[in-house]
Amino acid sequence: MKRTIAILLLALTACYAAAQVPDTIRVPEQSQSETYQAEKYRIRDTSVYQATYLKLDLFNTAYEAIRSKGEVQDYELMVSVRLRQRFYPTIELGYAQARDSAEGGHYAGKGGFIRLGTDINGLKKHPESPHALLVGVRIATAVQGYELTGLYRHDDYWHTLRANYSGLTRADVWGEVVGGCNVQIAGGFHMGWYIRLKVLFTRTASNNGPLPYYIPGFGYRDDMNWGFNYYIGYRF
Amino acid sequence: MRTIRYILPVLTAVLATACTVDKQCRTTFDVRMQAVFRADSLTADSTYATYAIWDSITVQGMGSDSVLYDNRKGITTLQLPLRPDTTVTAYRLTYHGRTDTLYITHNNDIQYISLACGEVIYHTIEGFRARGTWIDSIAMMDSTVQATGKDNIRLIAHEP
Repeated sequence: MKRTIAILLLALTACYAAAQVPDTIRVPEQSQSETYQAEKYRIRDTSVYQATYLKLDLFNTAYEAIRSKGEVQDYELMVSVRLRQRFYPTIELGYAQARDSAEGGHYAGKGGFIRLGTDINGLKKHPESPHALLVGVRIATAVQGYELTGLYRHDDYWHTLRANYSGLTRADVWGEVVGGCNVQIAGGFHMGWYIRLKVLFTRTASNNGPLPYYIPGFGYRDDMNWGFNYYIGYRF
Repeated sequence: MRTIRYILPVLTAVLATACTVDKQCRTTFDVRMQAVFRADSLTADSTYATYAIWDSITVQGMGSDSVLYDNRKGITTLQLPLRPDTTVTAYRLTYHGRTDTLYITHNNDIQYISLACGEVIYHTIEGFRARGTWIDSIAMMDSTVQATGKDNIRLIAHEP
């Protein structure tokens, strides 16, 4: 967690260092032309960099805590910058831990994940608007340590002992297509949501050993997964 | 934006109910070595007739108290589980009152299925031998032992 916070602060510092004083063309309030609409908050910004967003996911943290009764914990943070009023390069960081039991055994694992990608603002007609309708892609990876205990063996005759695996580590990689929106509430505060379609690339174990049951940032292991985030954030 | 406000609660409900994990194993994994039988028996006119059916067979794994086949009649195939914790499995086979010991040398390939199903062990037969009186020879048919239903070895008996 400390490393995650340090990386985050570095990223924010880099964004501020690269910030330019925007060349703004302030629309005169008395202009009546159809091209320029005289609303005070609308500033047509021609600079490359417009803003940095820092968002905290609320949905997954609450949903997993309630659904799994605390057995699964998921925390996600997103940092994105707004470029040319249209592009949102994004980095997402997170941490998750999970415990679960099923007919075949018990699982415990924890680790961190990172997603990199970019979104595009679909509001072509009003690109200067502080709101955004976003579509994007991500490439993500998670690294975790996990263990499987009491693993059932299909051996009804010899009745050998259940297997235990501990100290296992694994890195998984997946891709995402995301869609969502970002809405300004008041001042610099924003809220938004994402729907994610996740496709897992790393589906087999190199030595046919046990695979982790839960992947931080991806969810329960499967070839494909859906995800949902609801963010609250601030625009710098 | 109004449309999004209406869509959001519906989407949340759909996604929340879609995120269920099946914790029950819905597939059976029965990995057994299949042994078929062939006996050449001398007939009254001094010719050999070939039989492929056990008319009376008892099988027990060495190291286990359970009997796999107890004086079973009319079967053509034996389903024999190999030990997952060693590389040699031995069985006592009693046929027509005569008991032979069959030794199978094999490897064990552990395959993890899922948290619900646990793991299954597949095998590859590396060798075999028999000690006794009624098993004349053993022939390899398929060295891979998985839940496929394929015959793996043939026990050939030479009946006096």
